[in-house]
Amino acid sequence: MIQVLLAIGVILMLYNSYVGFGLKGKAPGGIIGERLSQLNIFIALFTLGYLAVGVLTWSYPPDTVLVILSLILLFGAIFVFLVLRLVQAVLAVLEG
Amino acid sequence: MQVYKQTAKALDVLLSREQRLVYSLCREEISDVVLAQRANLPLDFLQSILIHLLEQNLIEVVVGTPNAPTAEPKATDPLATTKAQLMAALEAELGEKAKKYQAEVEGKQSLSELEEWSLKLVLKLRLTISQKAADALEARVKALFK
Repeated sequence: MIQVLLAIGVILMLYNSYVGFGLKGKAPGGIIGERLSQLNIFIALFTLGYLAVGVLTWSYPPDTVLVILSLILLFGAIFVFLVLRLVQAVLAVLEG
Repeated sequence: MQVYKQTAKALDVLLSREQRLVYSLCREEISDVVLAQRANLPLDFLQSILIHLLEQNLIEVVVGTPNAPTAEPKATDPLATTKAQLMAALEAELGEKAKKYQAEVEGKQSLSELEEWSLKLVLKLRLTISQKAADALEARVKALFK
């Protein structure tokens, strides 16, 4: 259960990293471009953090704290995904 | 439309940057429309500069110029003039990237449509390209459509 939640979170964060760095090409500067640079740095750090948590807790027996931790991490990944979707939508409107 | 040319009088008065630019462009016979395009100034502002230069006797109105460009009646269209000035402003701020907006500028049918598009472009630049370029372009667009 915990491993599945962490794996979903890591996959989502890797996808977020791919999308985030792809968006930077569409907005190289300006307000969005500058904030996207900062956002991408944190996305990369969070992805490494997810991987570290996954590796360090892989063999741990499941308990309530680890379930809550993996849920928080998963919801964090979903939050980043939604933020990137918002940026994508803003850029699409500006392109149109 | 009128054609202007520098007089023989020496330049012995202090002129602003725009006035000096217009004065130097009048070295050869040049119409007010072409002047507005080359100096990248709104026509009404240019007229005030020309009046000042005429009062100072630094330039004169040339009547019946033999080398009048044949395309000038078309250039008197305010929409065409504004498009040319906007493209000049875009090239000044964006360099080579300005060319990709040329088709969109040419496609605009009215001044209000062009103004609306320009302001959207300023917003787009501010958000995705460069805030500095957006500020400079916004100032030029406001001067162009005031």
